[in-house]
Amino acid sequence: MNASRRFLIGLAAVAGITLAWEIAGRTHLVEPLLLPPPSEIVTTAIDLARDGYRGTPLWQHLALSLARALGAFAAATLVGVPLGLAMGAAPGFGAVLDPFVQFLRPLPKLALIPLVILWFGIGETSKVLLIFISAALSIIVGTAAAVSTVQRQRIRAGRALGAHGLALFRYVILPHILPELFVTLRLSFGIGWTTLIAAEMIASDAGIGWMVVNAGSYLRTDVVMLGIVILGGTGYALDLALLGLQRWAAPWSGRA
Amino acid sequence: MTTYIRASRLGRRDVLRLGLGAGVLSLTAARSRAQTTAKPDVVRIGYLTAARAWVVGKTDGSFDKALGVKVEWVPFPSGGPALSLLAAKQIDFAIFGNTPIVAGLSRKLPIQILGSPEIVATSERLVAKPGITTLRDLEGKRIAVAPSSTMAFALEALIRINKLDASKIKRLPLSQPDTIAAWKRGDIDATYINGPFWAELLADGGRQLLVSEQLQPSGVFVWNSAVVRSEFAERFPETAVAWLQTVQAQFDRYRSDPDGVSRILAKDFGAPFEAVRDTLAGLRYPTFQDQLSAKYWGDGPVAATDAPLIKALGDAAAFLAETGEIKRGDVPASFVPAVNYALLRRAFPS
Repeated sequence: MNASRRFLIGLAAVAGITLAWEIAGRTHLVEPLLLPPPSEIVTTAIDLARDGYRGTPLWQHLALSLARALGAFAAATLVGVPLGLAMGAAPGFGAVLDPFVQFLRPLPKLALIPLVILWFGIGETSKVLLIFISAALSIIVGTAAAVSTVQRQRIRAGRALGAHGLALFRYVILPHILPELFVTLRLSFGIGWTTLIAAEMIASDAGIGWMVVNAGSYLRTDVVMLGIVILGGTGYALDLALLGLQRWAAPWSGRA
Repeated sequence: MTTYIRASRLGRRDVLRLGLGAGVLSLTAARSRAQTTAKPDVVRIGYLTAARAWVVGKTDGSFDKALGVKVEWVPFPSGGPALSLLAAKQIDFAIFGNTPIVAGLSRKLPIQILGSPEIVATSERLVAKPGITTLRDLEGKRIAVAPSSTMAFALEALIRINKLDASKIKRLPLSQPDTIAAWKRGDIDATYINGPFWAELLADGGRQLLVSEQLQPSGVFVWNSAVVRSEFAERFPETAVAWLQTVQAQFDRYRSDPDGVSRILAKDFGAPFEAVRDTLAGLRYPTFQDQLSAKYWGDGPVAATDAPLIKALGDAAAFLAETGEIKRGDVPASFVPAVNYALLRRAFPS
């Protein structure tokens, strides 16, 4: 199946579900309070785009959430990738860090909120840190696993051909792990993005994650649904961007 | 004439027919009676996970006995989740704050208000760091308050009434346990907070600036209302009446033995006895009879329009619309129809 056909089928599926959803809402098959129809969500989107939500323009909510998530993700990549490489390349070092990483990684990040507030306060640091922790830990684990899949023969062959240190990394290890590294980054970004809600529960008064939680407590299901659409759409777009980056940086993905 | 004669000489078949007719009649009568006294299979009562006097009835099965059906108790941490539970038809009754109730009503959530058995008096307090001695000192300071709570509403009202510069006061939405942590770190200067949390802050050198009761002369009331799902009240009015009377019985029990009830609740919640006792003492408990007076709800829908709590519902709605939590167009023109006076009167005849 070629790409444009896949895209068209996907589009038709989305259109079909949206239509069925609208009809269910209009005919009161589903109570609009429980599931507002798409048309109501569009109206809410227009209202919020014009008047903002709780005194902050809608685009600022999104920009703030993006800044928090992307900032945390950039930091997580800068810290996580080298650390993961080191853990994968030096088994001794890996053995030291592994128990801590594996302990923290599956921890629900909501559980960390009280401690994060005590240690880092209620400012932006705490919010970014929470996203950073969840993204960085998966990046470390994924990167270390990728490095450990490099076959011994390849490294030996590289050495025999005179590659050492940085050259060995640049021409043997990196090309091998790059495709897997991108998969790790994509998954980790998804995990970081899901932590946004938890992060924005710390003393926030802006951000899409905060908007969803706040609107929920006033039964504003239309705003909740709009927030979910924005969160999902943005996450989707950013994943596509990472995928594009992968195609550019590691065009041999899936072919080697 | 023939019919007359035939009726006077009843045959066996006629008797049978008559009997059948009577049988059908009495059956339909029984069914219609069953409809008015119908009982649900189960009654689900929502309650706030905080010490609340009426919840003492959960511990000894008073509600199961009085309602004559199986009772399930569904906890919720604050008013917001309570609205979701009502919308999803997961609970039939609940008692929670007036601010979320107003938000639910303006979203056309099918619920009815059944009075206000708990009025906040001293349970919610504004506590500040030492050095802040007047309300005016709050300008330029950071105040933590639980989001979408009655305290958030009271704080805004306080700023408005005292003509403080709202733009100079940083309000930080924080859950109450997180507020304690932020206070200890010095991230906040003051907080509007519920019991038992303020006890810890006062012990830590905090200074009490105000309790919610002091806002009442300015028309600002904060209270918890009993609510019922409209559909439930229509189908099972007798059960709703019995529930209300049982709620009242629990408050009567608390009034006659505050320490005993506090001790039971402290054990049930795993909280210190003193904290529970002080939290419960911070609320006022007008009886339902009292509530149906000009002091609270008025004695019926006609006299209700300028009853203080009906007015307060309108004020809360205006506040929520102003802050952008609810749409202005969604606010009902009057909150009188949201109160089920008929049911209240049936449960508590004057």
